[in-house]
Amino acid sequence: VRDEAGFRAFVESNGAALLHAARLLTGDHHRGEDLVQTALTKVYLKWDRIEAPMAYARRALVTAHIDASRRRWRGERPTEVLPEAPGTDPTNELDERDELRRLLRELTPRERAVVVLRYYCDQSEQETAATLGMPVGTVKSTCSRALTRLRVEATSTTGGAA
Amino acid sequence: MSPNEFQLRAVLHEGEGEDLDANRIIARARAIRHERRVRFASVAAVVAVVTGVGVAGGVALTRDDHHSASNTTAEKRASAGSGSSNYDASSPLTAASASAACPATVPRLLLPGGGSPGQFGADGPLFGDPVSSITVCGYIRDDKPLPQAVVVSGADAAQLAADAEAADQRGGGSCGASAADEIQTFVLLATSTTGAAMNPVVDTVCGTVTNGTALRYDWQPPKNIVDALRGGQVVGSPIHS
Repeated sequence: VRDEAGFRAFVESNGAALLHAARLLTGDHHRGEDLVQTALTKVYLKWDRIEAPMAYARRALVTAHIDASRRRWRGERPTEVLPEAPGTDPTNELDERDELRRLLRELTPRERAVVVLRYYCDQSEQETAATLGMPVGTVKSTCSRALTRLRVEATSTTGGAA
Repeated sequence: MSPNEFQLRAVLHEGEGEDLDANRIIARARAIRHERRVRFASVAAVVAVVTGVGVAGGVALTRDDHHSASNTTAEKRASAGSGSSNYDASSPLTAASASAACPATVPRLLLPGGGSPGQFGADGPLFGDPVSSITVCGYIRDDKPLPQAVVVSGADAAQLAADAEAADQRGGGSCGASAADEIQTFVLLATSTTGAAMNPVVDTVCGTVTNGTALRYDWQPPKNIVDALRGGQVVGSPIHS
């Protein structure tokens, strides 16, 4: 890479946001680190040819995440005892946030990608569509479906207290 | 709880701020690039080797065709010149020490064309180039050569080679009376007119004559050569059959 200093500056200024986005996408601290490293490695290898590095990095991030989630085995894990329902206290803001994070992890990889790009990366619907390589209409419907799931799940978990 | 957009953004932004190590990413990217280049070089090397083998095989086939054509021309010329395809048994022969001139054991050659007549070039030339001399070795067993070899040179060598070339290409004929008796195998070591040693021609008496690519049947060297191999007087004297 000819402009290695430029790449270093890019990582220093945007690395934290990309790392956090990766953790939100994977729902896991360490898998998020792996994901952002994979994406930024792709960025480094094409650094001299990329015109919009942040857009490329975000696209690499969500593409790698969706590809990885396709490969990952998602089998049942039988247990003898049913897991306890989280003891949320509607009056406790911290519990609400924990619950919301848990619900985010239960979204499909594509839904989670749309939510993260729209509400964490502050991308418009058009930008989100370009990053994910899907039509704007699909972004709208996916986002709407994800938010509905979050609301319904949150309401059912807390017994409609909100 | 029913999260609104503000709550959702707040949850999404919680916990951010941890920096990334650019050096680690660069090191990993360099390792991946190096691995890709090594893999690419390996594939390129394999492709180059396969291509080289293919080209060499093509060149070899072309040369074989050329030699085959030139050998046929040489045979025609020899036949026209002598007016006979028989070896001149009155020619002088030269004796040589078998231990110096002959291999200790009979060279093992696979029968070409799976041993079938006329298959896969089995009807090609036994001697690829015009010969200047032929050393004839005799073997009682595969690992027991006769003590004496016979060297035929010049026009006699060319005639001996032409006789062998003209032997039956299809097999199935009768062997007839063998002059060799106890000799089981002959090995003909020819030198071309350019001085190059040619592939040995192995002749199992009344069996097959082959250099590993061409095949003839039911041929053996003339009687005077066989006699000379058995230890008769050789040097400097004409030997008549």
